[in-house]
Amino acid sequence: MTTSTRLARLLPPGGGRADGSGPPSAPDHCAAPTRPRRARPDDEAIATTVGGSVVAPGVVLIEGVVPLTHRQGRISLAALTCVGDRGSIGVTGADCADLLFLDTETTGLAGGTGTLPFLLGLARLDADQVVVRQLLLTGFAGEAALLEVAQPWLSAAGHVVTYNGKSFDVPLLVTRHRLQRRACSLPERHQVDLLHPTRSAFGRRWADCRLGTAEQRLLGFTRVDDLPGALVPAVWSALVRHGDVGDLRRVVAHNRDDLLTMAALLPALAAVFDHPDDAARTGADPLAVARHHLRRADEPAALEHLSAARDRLDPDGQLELARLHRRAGHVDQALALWHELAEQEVPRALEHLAKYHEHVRRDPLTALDYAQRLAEADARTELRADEVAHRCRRLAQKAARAS
Amino acid sequence: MTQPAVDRFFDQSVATDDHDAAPQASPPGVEPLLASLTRRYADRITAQVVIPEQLGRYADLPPGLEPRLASAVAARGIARLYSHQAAAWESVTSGRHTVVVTPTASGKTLCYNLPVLQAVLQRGSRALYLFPTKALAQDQVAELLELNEAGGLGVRAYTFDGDTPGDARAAVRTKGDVVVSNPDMLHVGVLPHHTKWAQFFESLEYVVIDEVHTYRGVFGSHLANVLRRLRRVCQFYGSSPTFVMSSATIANPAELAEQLIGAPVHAITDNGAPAGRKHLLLWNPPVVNADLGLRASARSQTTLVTKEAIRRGLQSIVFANTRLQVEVLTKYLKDTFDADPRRPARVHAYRGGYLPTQRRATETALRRGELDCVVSTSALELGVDIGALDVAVLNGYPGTVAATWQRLGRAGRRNQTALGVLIGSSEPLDQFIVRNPQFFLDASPEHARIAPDQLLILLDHVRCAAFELPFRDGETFGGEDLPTLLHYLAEQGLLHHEGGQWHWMADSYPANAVSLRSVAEGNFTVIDVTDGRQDVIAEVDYSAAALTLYEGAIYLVQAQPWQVERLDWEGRKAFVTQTDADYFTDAIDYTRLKVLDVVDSARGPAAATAHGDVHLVRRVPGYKKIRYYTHENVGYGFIHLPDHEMHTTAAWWQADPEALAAAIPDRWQALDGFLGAAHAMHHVAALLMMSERGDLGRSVGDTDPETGSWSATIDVEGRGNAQTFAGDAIDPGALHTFCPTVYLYDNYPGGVGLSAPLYDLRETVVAQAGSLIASCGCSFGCPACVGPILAAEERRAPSPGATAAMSPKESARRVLDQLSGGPS
Repeated sequence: MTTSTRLARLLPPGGGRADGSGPPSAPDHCAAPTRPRRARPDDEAIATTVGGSVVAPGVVLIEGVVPLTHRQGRISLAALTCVGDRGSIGVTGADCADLLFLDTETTGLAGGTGTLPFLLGLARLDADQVVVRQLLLTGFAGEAALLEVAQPWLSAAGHVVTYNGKSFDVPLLVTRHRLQRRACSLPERHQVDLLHPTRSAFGRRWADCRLGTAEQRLLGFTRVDDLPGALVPAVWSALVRHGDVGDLRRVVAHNRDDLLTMAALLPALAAVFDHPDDAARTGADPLAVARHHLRRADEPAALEHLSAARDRLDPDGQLELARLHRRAGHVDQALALWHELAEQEVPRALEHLAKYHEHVRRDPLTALDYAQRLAEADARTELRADEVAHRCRRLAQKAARAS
Repeated sequence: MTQPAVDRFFDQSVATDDHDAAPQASPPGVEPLLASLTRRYADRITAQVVIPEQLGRYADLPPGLEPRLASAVAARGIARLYSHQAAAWESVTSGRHTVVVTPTASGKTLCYNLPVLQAVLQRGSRALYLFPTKALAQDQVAELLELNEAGGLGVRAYTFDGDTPGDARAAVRTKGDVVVSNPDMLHVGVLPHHTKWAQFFESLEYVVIDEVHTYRGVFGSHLANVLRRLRRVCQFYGSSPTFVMSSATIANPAELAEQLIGAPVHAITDNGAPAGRKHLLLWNPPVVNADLGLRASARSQTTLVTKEAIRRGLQSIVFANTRLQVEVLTKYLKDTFDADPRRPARVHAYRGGYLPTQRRATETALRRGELDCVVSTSALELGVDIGALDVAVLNGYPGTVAATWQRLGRAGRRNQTALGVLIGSSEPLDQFIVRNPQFFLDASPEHARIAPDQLLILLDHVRCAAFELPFRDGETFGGEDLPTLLHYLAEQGLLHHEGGQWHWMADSYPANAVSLRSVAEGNFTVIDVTDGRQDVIAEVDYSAAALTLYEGAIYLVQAQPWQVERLDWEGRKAFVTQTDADYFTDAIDYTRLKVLDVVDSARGPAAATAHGDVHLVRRVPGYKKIRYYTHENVGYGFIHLPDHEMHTTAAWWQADPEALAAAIPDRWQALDGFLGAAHAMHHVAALLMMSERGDLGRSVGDTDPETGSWSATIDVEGRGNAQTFAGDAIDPGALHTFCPTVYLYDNYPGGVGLSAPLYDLRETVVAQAGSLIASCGCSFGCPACVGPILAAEERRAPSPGATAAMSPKESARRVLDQLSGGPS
């Protein structure tokens, strides 16, 4: 029996395995083997369809410029030139000249060596405009040429700005360079992944932090006739399998919008982290924003954000604000916050007050009062019973000695 | 010191290291125990063998050994090598793929650690170590680190497996000189991301595969394909690593190794490690009911022998075949020896599922002689370092000759006599072994068989390989026609052919969908949830689960009934509650087999044998409720499990209808005979093929549409029943032609190559089955020879026309006569 007869017997068409236990063997919804296969349009024809030009065999370049007056929703791209110098999200105003926005469209999201970025979108600021270069593969063959064409922009970039690029686009491009046996300079560039600050500030406020959500909530931008990202792999598959250029333009437009959204999102996010007003207006989580600043060792910024949001903080936020006040020497503000929290019997605040009265005010009686309230509060949460009991015993002894 | 210090190799610990120094006095020796057992239980001992002492053979440390490495080795107390270690050095450093065959505890790790460390130190090479389990991998890293420290070598060895934290992975990839992993991780976590490992693959010089004998059947076939992918990826990075393998004693180590790596392999089989004298007893529990063929349990004998050994101050290891048996035996031994909780435990259990720290503690206690006894599953059969013990007791036959010797090898000190006792359970295979000691003692260890070109397995890995690197036209992968497979995958929409290459095109990660361990793995746990409990009360083989753990089933443990409330098939769990039902349940299963293609056949005067491709459908439509004692049918339930359907390969034996009618005139009796013969043949075949019994399936029936289409099963009364696939009972007497056939099929879709060798052994299978039945001590046939018969012969009235009732044993014997009279 030939291989194909046995194969046919073991794997009957239209079904999973003959053993009934294996995974369905045709997971790809776009396979449609019955679809007529047209001759694939040549590179020129594809270039015409998407409004680009053939720059190497198998590679189409779509280049465009967008003036800084362009608005992506509420935000004008000109905001890019006004990014402050605080560097809250890893970029300062001085960096803006060498930013490279990068976004890929791929054959899938599985990762690993079997995923191909067939469209590489790049954008950078050039005087009073944003230059967008999109490199499209017309088949598998052009990949080496595509990486070659992209090379100058990739290596000239000072900062590579992506959305989820740290874990997806950049490693993917590194992998593709390795597979094509080319050196890749991307990992050496400073990485600015806008997903991370977005998630910090809004992760607990929004249902998800996808780029589409961020652009709606922060830019007020809603795409018209956008091709959903999930359909992207099928479009390229239709091109190389069936010569179908149908939705190719929409993929290119989708990618271009992603790039422009990132360009607008960067100043918008920088504002959220730089200015408490912007944070309040966009509904950012003040404690999360403060922690972001603390990770960057910027305590003043953290304090500024929490102070501005003082009336909206939850107990964790208030405790953190009190902690920062105390570190900054604002003992009165810290005490005020702890007293507010103590009224709600928040254990950590009771503990702080007990310590404060024991060690700073040398007032064991008041401290004992707080420690006993702490014991009761802790009994409700069954935490640290031994530690608190010990504190109470010690304070009781001190109080006895003092009286 | 006149005796050169070769005492402590890494998995051969004779405690001479100061920090490991055993406080134990010189053990008393096993001779008094042996004398006592042979005197008191002579009737239970079916064979006694002495395996003579073997003197060690040595060689000098290789002259080219890197000085730092030489001093590290010296610091570990090693001044010279065993001859096989030196031979391995010679072979491996000359770049030959090498497999070293070593019994337990004979210094095998040095065979690969020396050349690997040499290459790391001299050339900055990298090495990949693959172990079948995570536990072994961790042992290995610990051992490398000890050597590393002893010599200040600065070699970085890391494990990379599912437990490696995400933030440590990058360091392992870029900094690890030796990466220790397992086949599953290589398959799913390394190869599909090979670009992240680029530097590692570029300088990969050695791939070490330990315990290759464990890679047989489906698992081995998968591993061979993973290694094909590994070699392909290495080629991409311009490296061509040398494979160094180790194996326990099997019949075909070189052949297996060559099949696994797809290249010629040099086998080093001559072991130079010294071994003390060893006595081996084969032990059959005493008969307690001759009519029913019932013997005392193996467990009772195991505890008897082990207690005796412990009382005499001997260090013992007990091997049991399931985790549950381990627990039960441990409890019985602890009840005797660890009754006082204030004193340190003398008996430990050891099995998978325990925490690594617990296992390490047991290993250390064993090495130091602080434990009197350990009760283990096969987990201690592999190369975990526990030192050498005095007595090994095997509670039941492990299933293969190779595993038996491997387990017995745990007993044996260099200058002391050791004792091994193999205790047969009531399982047919066990009974066969202990009753035919010569068969076991003469048996060469089994062949480990793999089928790397098994079409479905191959296709799985072609898929994974295509994801990793596009196939080029003209490239080969395995022995099948690659373009056909690639075209198939392209039709499925997974690949796209362009520019002479086949590119991965789908949004999926194929390795995730391919499990290297066969589907038939994963025992079911039975969990008692009565009154909110969560106690595991039993484990059930995958192959038996459909027939015993369906919802509504009465599941018996020690004759106590539980009812299955819910079966979580995916999670491999059955939830049961205690019940006092006065009935038990019996699943009805039909197997329909259709022969698709006869590859080869042999015809004799009274029988025909063949092998080929078959299509098989197994259905478990329902179950009967049977009242105790009266055996009346008191109800029926439906079972909602999908039909199990597969194409596979089979070997089959068919009697000539006329000759059969002459030998056994009554067709009901002939049917019983076939069922009994099939039972015996199944067990013998599993033994001959070095496979688990679940790897082979059996069926009795007639699949020829011209003579009838029926299959037969044994009902709870031990009586053969024939039915059509729709489930209608048929009367064999009413069939025009009665042509029963025994099928033994490869229980894996597409087959893993068991059928052709089984066909080659067709006469041996029948002959050995005949001798299994003939040598059984029962009168009429019993579970240990012809399978479950209960009270069949008493209950059945002789069929009309039959002159006398024939026992199932007799009818099976006559059927086997027919089958052996066949092919000449």
